Amino acid sequence: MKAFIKYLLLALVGMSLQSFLFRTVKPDLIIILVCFYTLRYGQFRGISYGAVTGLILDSASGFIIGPNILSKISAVFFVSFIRRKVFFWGPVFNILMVLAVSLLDILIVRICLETFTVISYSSRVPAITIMQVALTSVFSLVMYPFFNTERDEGNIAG
Amino acid sequence: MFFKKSLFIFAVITLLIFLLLTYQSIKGNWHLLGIPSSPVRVISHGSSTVINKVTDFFHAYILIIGTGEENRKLRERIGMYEQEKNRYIETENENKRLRGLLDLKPAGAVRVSAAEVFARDPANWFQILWINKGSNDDIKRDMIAVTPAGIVGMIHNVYVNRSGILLITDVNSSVAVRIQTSRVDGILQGRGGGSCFLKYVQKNSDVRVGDKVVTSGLDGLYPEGLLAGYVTSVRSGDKYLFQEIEVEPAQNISTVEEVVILRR
Repeated sequence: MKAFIKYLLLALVGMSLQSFLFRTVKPDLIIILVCFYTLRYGQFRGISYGAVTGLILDSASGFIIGPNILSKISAVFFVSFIRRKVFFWGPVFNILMVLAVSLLDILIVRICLETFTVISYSSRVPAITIMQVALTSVFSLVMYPFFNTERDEGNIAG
Repeated sequence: MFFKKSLFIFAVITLLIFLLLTYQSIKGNWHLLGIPSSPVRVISHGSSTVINKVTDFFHAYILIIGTGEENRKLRERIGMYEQEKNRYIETENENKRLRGLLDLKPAGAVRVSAAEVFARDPANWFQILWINKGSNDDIKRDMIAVTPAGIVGMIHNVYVNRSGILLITDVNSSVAVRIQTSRVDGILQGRGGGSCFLKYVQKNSDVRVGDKVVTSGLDGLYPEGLLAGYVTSVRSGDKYLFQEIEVEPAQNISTVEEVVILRR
């Protein structure tokens, strides 16, 4: 519970940084935290963390609740599935995983918004998505030393 | 076995979320929607204050650095004066902005309220500003937000004490506009970044870089004649029916601090 609250506070700070430091293209710091939390505390605790952070993100935009919850929970399942298949987990693999998870997140949110609302992203510039994924990957590398899940091997997901 | 269990849980969660999404798409979103994000707004408000203080501090520090060690006391005093001066400059700038907002009386629009921006959307999907006025101040959906520099966006979500403005740069925003000089009509649509597209302008229309783009009032939402932006690039290819025009908003969207809310 203590770790959950700590990560939740980090997510809130991350969201604030996203909204104030980045004005046009923002990295997805929350998806990085969801990945690290899942790697460290496992799939089932990761689901609750993904659901809560997704709920906050959905409510912050004020449109519809669900797309971010689904995308973050999907990220949890994806990460824990990959973690069970991979023996060695290093920073390079971590970046690749964050990159894949960011793309998955974008895809799920976009499908949900375009299906369940009148919103269309057809005129959205693709460069924004590319920049977002690139920024998220860079931030995952920066954050990796602080959240390195390989340090205490007893706690990795399995 | 574990994989099957995980897959089952994932399927159940996905189904539940799809049911929730379907319910919202039929019934509309919930009024309690904003409650979970309240901590983000509080932290955002706090962090913006902290960021401003830190920036002020570094600004003051940079201003006093470089003078001799023997003038340390003098530099401290200069630093204090500089900080004081910065405060005066800030106050003066705020006064100018507020005076500009007070003078803003566009024809064909009724002024509803002035409001302060206190938060921005943390995700990339929407470009939203949150203001500190809501239904208590007669703010309603589809009212528009402007500054003396130009239009900012439209109210899309109203709560008791706060509202969300969908910015003109958001992909879901469309504004009926025209080129001020040639009177060519078009639709200004957000690109999701910091600029907009001017759509449905025919290839033979006279549009040049630097032209002013103003609201035409044809959408029934924005009053006529408000400055929206400036044309920054014009392209027209043989295979396209319309010109591809990029417009830079007149009001820099990332520096909006106060807005005036208008209704037609």
